[in-house]
Amino acid sequence: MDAIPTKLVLDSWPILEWLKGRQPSTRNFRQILDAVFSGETELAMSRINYGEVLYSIRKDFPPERIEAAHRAFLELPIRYISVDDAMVDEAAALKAVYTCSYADCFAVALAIRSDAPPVTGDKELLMLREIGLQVLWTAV
Amino acid sequence: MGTSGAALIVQDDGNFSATPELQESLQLSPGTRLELIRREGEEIRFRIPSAMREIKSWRDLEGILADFPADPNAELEAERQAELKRDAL
Repeated sequence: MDAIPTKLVLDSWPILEWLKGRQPSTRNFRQILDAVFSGETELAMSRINYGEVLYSIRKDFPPERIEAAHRAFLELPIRYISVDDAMVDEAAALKAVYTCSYADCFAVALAIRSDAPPVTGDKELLMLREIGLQVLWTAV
Repeated sequence: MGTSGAALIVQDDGNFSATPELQESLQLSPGTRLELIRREGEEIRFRIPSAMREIKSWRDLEGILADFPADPNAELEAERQAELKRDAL
């Protein structure tokens, strides 16, 4: 993985890979968390992508573990950014032009607005490189 | 375990049904996931993934789904592909 920038936008992909424990994404995500805890970097995530993680937990965890998993997820050092009207417009504009999911467009819109590279291993987000944005790639 | 000859029936919707006796014998409850190990001729082997460990902090989430068939990114990818297919229409 490349050097960790001082601020990052998190897509749902690295968290879901981390839950699954796949490498090298898990090791890379842990390294990012260490950097956040030591104050070297900041991690932001759109509420839309937060929702993707949350509904995956609700769908894939045993019922008796869902609430504990949700609480633990909220302990992660991530600043969740709510979506405003302008961000919906920005995500819609991206969706109309690029081949990516609507949820991914919110991660991209937040990355552009925050001037922070997204952290992902989702190949769909490689299109960011086409528009000149840096991507912190956590997959193989 | 006294399960020899007990049958699992595949329903029209793809779900399996098991008699109450078989459920009790194998300790299966609604929602129990069975992971396919392998098929050898007429014999099919499944396993029940070990129970999910207790979650006390965010650290416990790392790799917690490793032994479970659930794969959230694969599920999201399938959703995204369906979305992109609709977009292409």
